[in-house]
Amino acid sequence: MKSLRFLLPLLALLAACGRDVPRVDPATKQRPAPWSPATVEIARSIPLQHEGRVKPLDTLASFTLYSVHGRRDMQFTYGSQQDKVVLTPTEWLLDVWCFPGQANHYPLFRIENTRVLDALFPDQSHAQQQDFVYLSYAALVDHEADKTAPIQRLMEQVGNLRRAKDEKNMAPDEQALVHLHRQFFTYHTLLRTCDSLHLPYLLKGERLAALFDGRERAHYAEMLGKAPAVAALANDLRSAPAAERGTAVMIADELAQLAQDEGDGPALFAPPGSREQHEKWLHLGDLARLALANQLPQAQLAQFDALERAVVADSVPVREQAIAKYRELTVAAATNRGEYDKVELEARYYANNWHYKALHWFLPAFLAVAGAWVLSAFSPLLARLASWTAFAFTAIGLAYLTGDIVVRCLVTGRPPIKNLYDTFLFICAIGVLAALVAEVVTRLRVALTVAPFFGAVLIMLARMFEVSDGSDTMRELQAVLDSNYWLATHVTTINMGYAAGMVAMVIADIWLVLRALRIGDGNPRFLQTIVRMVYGVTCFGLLFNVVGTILGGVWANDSWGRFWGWDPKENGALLICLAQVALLHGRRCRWFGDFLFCLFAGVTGMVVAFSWFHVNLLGVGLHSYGFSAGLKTAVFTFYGIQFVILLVGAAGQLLRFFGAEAAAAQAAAEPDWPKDAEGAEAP
Amino acid sequence: MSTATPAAPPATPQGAAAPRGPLQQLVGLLGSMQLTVVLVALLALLTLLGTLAQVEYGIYYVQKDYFESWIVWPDFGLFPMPLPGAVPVLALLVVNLVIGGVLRMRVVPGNVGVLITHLGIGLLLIAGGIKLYASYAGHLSLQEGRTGNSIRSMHEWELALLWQDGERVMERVVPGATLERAAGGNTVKLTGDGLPFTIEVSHFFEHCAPVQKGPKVQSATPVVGGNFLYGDPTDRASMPKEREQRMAGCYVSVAGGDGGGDQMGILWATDMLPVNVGAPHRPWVFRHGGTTYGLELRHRLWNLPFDVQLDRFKKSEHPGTSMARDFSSFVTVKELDGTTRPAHIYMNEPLRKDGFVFYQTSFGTDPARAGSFYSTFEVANNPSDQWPKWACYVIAVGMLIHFTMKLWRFVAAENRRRAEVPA
Repeated sequence: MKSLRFLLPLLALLAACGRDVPRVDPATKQRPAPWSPATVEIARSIPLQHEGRVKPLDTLASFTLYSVHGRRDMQFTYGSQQDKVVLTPTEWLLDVWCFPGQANHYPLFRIENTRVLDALFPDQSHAQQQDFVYLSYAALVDHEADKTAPIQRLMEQVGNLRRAKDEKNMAPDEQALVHLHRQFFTYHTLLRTCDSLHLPYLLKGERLAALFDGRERAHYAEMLGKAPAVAALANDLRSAPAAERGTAVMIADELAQLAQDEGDGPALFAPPGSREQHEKWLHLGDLARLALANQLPQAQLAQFDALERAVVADSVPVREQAIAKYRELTVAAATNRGEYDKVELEARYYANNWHYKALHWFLPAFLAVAGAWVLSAFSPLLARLASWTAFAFTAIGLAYLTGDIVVRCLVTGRPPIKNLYDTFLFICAIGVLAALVAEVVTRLRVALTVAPFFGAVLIMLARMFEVSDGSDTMRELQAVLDSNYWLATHVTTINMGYAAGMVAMVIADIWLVLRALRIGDGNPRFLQTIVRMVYGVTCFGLLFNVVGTILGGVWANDSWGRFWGWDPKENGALLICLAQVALLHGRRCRWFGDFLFCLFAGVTGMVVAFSWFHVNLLGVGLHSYGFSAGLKTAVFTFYGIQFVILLVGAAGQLLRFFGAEAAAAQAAAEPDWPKDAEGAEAP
Repeated sequence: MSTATPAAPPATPQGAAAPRGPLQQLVGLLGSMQLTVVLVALLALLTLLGTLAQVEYGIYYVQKDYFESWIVWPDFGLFPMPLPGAVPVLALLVVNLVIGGVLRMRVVPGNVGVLITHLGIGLLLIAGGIKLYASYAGHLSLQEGRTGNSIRSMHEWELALLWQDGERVMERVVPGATLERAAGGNTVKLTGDGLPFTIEVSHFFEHCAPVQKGPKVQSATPVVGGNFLYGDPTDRASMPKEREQRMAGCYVSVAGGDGGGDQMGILWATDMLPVNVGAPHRPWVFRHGGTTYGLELRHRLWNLPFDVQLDRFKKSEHPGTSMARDFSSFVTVKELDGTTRPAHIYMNEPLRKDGFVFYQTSFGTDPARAGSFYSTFEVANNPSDQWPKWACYVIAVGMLIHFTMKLWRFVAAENRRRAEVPA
């Protein structure tokens, strides 16, 4: 077996240009023991710059894992005992940088499509493959000497596909190939960040060795420290005999080439000076460039030296000390630049995981309220106790969720919603709050049932979206979105409208199901109050939807030069407003009795989902983002579930109208449609 | 008992109301809430269909077909089913709103919020109508250091006849709607007042490209100078979805030129291509009566009452990425009387001047000067520019009043209900 050197140009270059055989071959170097918790804790909040912002190492590791692995941890079995190993994101990234030979064999890329396996490994049959499999990086790049590597096949096929059609028009198996290609290079870029550090320089030639006190080898940091002298020496020796030239020229050429590398992975070294002077952090290529120009400050060289020692260390204590040193230096530099306080906050944010804790409160809250419904038939006191427990648990969950949103605002310096992911958390919080307020007013236990259910579902959806999207949820904003004023007004307002629309839908669904199952028939006031809740929440939603939609138009007028452009996202917002206006006016003019009102409130919830997500999937307009196959499936699953609920409600209503029992009930009691019982009570 | 449910109008005892005449019935119908529901539902349906249609047809054509039309023929695939377009629906909605939501509404404290809301919506709809019929918009692309005083439409074409009269360049313009009549084998004759010749326009294509005529190349259009225009208006798949990406073309023929006989030329509108930003115009020229004329097919131009000079364009990216963080233009506005003033146009901060609003839209590298940029502004002239903002405030106030009152009544009713029911 041999590795695909063409994928590692830097390493290949280094191997050919005077770099020594490493003391420990990175391809076989294995981590002798698990990372100590203290080291992991230290490493988690190491600051680095990636995708335009300074963030903790753990954030980079987490979202890279989401992106390439589909999970936030790395799990596999190991050894003859099949011991289960679970690596946190930070542990995994430390492995990738310090033990690449080991990390490259981790089961990383999740393959769900057997066509992809057929494309990668045409000699093998995958017809019997029922489940997904994980492939390692090594499985893609390693190959027999006389055969083509799977990654080469992948690159060729993806190249052909991209030339032939747009990704949106590709078949699912073709999209899966392109996705794997993207995942592969995401990991590859991360791997490349530190791979060259594993090879010390071989110092051949008397004059070159003399620069390094006669030693035979030198570390990368040492070489950067003496780069100008090495470059000058190489110029002198360029036409000298090979023995005299040694490796000086090759090393100087390599440094010169490295200096051209802009670096596309994370930048690991805080630059000198203030943020205003040098906003961009430094890659290895930047260090080489500065070193050759004799402008590399000692502070940056010290950061690099510490990192290199951490990467190449043979012993655990040395490695851990080096990691601590590297963190200390980068933290000090970042602190001086005013960039570290938010990094620390972000690291704590992900460690605290408050929205996940909120989920842990919503779930028992839902169980408690379910228990309250059951207990109400036996013991009103216990039922009341269960209700209060549910209310308290939901309130605690909401507090956690609110804290989560507030910390996100503090980290990003932005209002609560910056991207599609934020909408889940925000809508969740507003929905839960609205339901709790409705419960305080009505005390029917219906809104109390909705609150934890809504909260739990939205948080689970948020986590699903986070995984399927696989990108930093605190990423920087596009220029047009860079307006805290509009993010705080239009975006926040319209999402409050979305939340109300969804909560109204859930309450209306409850009414439809209760009616279909003939629960609450003996207590018409109970059902009427549910309808009133739907009405009230719809009013709340209409207010925020209308104001939010118009504010969006005013923002568009300031950004794009027109108030309204019939863009799909604008149309989606308008559709919600129109649906809610029709709903309220239909109620007001008595076209919609209780049943039709709840049925159309359920339809309005589908309209909210259309505006919230579906329009983004259309691939047209100015809001075409957040596209993923998983999201599309989720949206259509939601439509399907909601349609079934509406169908159940409609079937129940039909049975009432045409069944003998329903006719008798209609004659005896107040009919709810078309003569609306509630309407008769209206002032 | 008071509740927060919608207040139903008190039922009129049968036979108590006097019979209403046809006009009253019509007014009653036009102001009815039932009509509101129907119109709003129709508008929602149009919006949904128009949104989905954009995937295939692009936003410009959907806007014209669905939202600026009187009748719509949605593509249901199986059978044609016409729907009223957004124009009649919105017009009726305004009538409905004015009659039912304002004039006939009882002015009682409970209705104050609704009344204010309806007034705000009315203002919004009127602003939309003014925007549709009285506004225009185009764009202005300027290289650094260059000055411009006209804006170019994104969607409309025009044919310009140019000639020199002493120091002045004279211009006559034929609108795009006239040119579009020359599509599909038709010919349009242009004979303006005082023009000593007739111009015939033929083979107008909304999207086409000139092709060199080779021995094996068939041409359905005349060959001029070894080239012909190729376009297939029936093949929508081969055309860009968005109209601003389409490049129109046509043939022009001038009878009785100085060379004797007819002179025929091919015009192709490439003025929107980034490569042509700031490039000199190259009209097709012919001579007649000793004067040189030029004919140019281009996107419609509107002149500005002042000049705008792009002094400097600045863009910044998020560190280590190619994602734009900010792009902005530093310009100088030059009045006709020679006075100047600097202005800064950037994302979300337009320049407003004499009814024109300049928005930072895009930018590009100057094809003529390495390292230099050009900046593109969307320029709109909309008399109702700020009306939606005011409407938003009015609507927000109205709805807040109304729904707060509703909520108050609802809470009070629930409290009373709980007080009535023994624990």
